Amino acid sequence: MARVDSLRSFFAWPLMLAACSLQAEIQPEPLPVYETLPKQLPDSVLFAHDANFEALVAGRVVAIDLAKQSRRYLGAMDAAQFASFIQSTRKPELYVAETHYSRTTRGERTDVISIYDAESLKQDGEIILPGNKRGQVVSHRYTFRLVDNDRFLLVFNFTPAASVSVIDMDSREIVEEVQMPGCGLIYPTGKRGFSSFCSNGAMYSAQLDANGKLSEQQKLPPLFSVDEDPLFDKPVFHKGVAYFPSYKSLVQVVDLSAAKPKDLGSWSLLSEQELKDNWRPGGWQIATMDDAGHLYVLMHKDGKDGTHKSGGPEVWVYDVNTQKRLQKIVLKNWGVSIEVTRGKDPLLAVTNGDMQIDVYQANNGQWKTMVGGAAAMPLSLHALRK
Amino acid sequence: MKWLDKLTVNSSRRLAQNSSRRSFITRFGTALVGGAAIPLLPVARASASSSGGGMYPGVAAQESGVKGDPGDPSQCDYWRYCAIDGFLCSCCGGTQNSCPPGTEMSPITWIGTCLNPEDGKSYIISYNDCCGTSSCGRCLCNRNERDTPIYRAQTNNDTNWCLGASSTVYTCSTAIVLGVATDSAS
Repeated sequence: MARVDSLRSFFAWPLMLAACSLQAEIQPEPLPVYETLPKQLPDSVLFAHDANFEALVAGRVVAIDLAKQSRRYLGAMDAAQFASFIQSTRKPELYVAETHYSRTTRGERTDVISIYDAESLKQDGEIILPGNKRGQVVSHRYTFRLVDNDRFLLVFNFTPAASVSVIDMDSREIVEEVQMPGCGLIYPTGKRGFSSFCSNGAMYSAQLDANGKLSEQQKLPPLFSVDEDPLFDKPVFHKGVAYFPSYKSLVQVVDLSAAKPKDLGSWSLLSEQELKDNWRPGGWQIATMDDAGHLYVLMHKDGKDGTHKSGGPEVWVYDVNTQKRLQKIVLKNWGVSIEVTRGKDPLLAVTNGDMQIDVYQANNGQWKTMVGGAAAMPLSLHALRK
Repeated sequence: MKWLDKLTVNSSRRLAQNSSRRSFITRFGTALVGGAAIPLLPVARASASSSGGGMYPGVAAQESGVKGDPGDPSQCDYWRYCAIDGFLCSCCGGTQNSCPPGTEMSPITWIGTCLNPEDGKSYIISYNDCCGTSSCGRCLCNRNERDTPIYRAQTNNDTNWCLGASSTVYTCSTAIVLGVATDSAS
């Protein structure tokens, strides 16, 4: 046997040497090397906010490119303790409003806006929020908005006294705090202002002057009955007009493009049969809007009191101008939150019940791929702001 | 190629051992299902059936110990939990109306109105959060009967109600009977 082995080696070695000489060697690689995000983020980018309910002090915001074939996970930023996130269009910056404790879960509390460079994802500045009053709710985009071409950053406070802090992002200084007792959240309104809903269904509205100071405010009569059919607190916008789905499948339209909110009435998402079958919106991020003015709503059948956060098996798409339904997308997996990407040919991202992100072609509802393991609980999905 | 085989075997073992992701999915599915009959996750249903009918694998049955208080406080379908959102303190070292050791109960809460199936009366339930240590992670339960959006905060369960405690870090939620609802919310 030994002879056979040595014979085999005799013939094998020259062949192996020849193979090696034909194959180029891997060159030594430089280190350290860091990746960056593209200077111009493509339309297909999505920021998935991971609330990380199992360890809320370690939430994150993950940048994902849904259109890439591989290396879709671009990078992440920390977002601690019921954080909020927004991307600036004025500067290459990303903002996270978060809360830290000096001993992780105890000790001195610090509320802070952490500023990240949009390319390197390095934290390169912060604004301390005094008073321990930053509103902490399950990740929600309307706790943290930019207005006036993204110059002023608005932060929702809740202690439970409600107010909005105004921060000038050019000077990075807090310039105002607008009190709005009994009201909540921030819906950008007019040139430089915001509106909120109050507990009786009335809208509160405020405008700021060029320095970010409160210049006018008003409270309008109730728009709807919170007891009978509440509007979801997560509207979607098209050309300055807000569309608020209701628990019972109406869409309340409010023009927020001018200083004074204008009630444009409501319309139903349902046919008569669908109404009988109790189809209703449900989930966390229950609606989204594409650039063409198509409204997407996550729907479920047999809805009743208490099913408004249960998610759904279908996404229904409407043209907000004609109020006509364009298509029904039957989801591959039960959906919890939805968001469409930007541009003419958007992708529909759906956080499914397994907390993975399914990706569909928005115009025909075809399932394309699944982005797995990106986040423990990506309940809030943010399309690119442009 | 033994090294490759060995690595593969080890990776597979690690994958098998690392079941936290699956556990989480199961819990989240159960959380969203709550007491409602929504067929959310087959995983959740499979786990429920394999654990002797309970919603949470490996969580033993409990009783509240209060007369006229039916159901299991370690289960999401317990009547008091009709508007709860979070980890059940009953599964975390506390009970349906007390906090686990080492935590602090937030004095400010949201309120629900839940029907007690035993006496047919609606009760006002205060969902005081227990706070100050990291998320319990056990028995996640989300039910939303009469839950209103954030702009009506007093009946909203998306808000972190640990805001009234010395640390706003959320641990788990209780469901405390405040009294019979005088104006029964049907």
